[in-house]
Amino acid sequence: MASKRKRGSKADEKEDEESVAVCEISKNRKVSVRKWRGQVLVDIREYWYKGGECLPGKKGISLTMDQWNVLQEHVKQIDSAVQRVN
Amino acid sequence: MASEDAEKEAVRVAVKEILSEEDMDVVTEGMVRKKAAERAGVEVSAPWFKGFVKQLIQEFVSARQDKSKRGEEEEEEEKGDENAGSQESSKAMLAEGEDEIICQLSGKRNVSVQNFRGKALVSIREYYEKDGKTLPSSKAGISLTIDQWEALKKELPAIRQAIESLQ
Repeated sequence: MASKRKRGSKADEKEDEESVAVCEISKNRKVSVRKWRGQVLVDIREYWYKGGECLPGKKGISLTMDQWNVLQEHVKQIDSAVQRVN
Repeated sequence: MASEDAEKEAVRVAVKEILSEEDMDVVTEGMVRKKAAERAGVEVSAPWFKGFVKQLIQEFVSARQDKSKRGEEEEEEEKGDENAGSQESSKAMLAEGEDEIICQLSGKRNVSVQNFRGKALVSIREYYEKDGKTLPSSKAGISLTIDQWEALKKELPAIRQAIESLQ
């Protein structure tokens, strides 16, 4: 679902936005991939429900492909830091 | 009775000694507190004691991390990720309240792992500079619990596929 508020406040911006809902990582958090002004973004975001509608919340971040790729390359390092918390 | 300043100095010396002796992967904050109180001859119940020890541990840990990070970056450029495992194990534990930056996504954005009340959080967030320190901003970003991070990892192939379909 394309996000309806905040992002793409101008009508024409909304037009070229395609979005693919990918997965839920918790009850109210989703990862979606969308195209905005020709740029593909990975969005990790909290959602809330109002009147049966699912709306994007404030908490979250949209990563550009460059940023997403850096994150992917560091999965191992993240995991090992997580290990050191316990 | 010794003044608080003198006591603090004694605790500082004791904590430093203890931290350099102990295996940081095993030792807990509570253990450090107990030993430091014994060595410095200070009451554990002093109101400033717990917070002060915590602060000392954090200083010590972040100084150590800075050191090991610098070393790692240099090595990584030469060798790639092959040795990552063995380097990681020599790194210090993440103390409560600590935030370790794993990588920079862009000028302002970082991925960090945080010890929040004993639980790990993976935080993808914008940071800002204040007084020479890099601080997490509450505005843009999200902190994932371990369950959420694991779920995200499991979905990586699906996310990659979605990216391809839009490109």
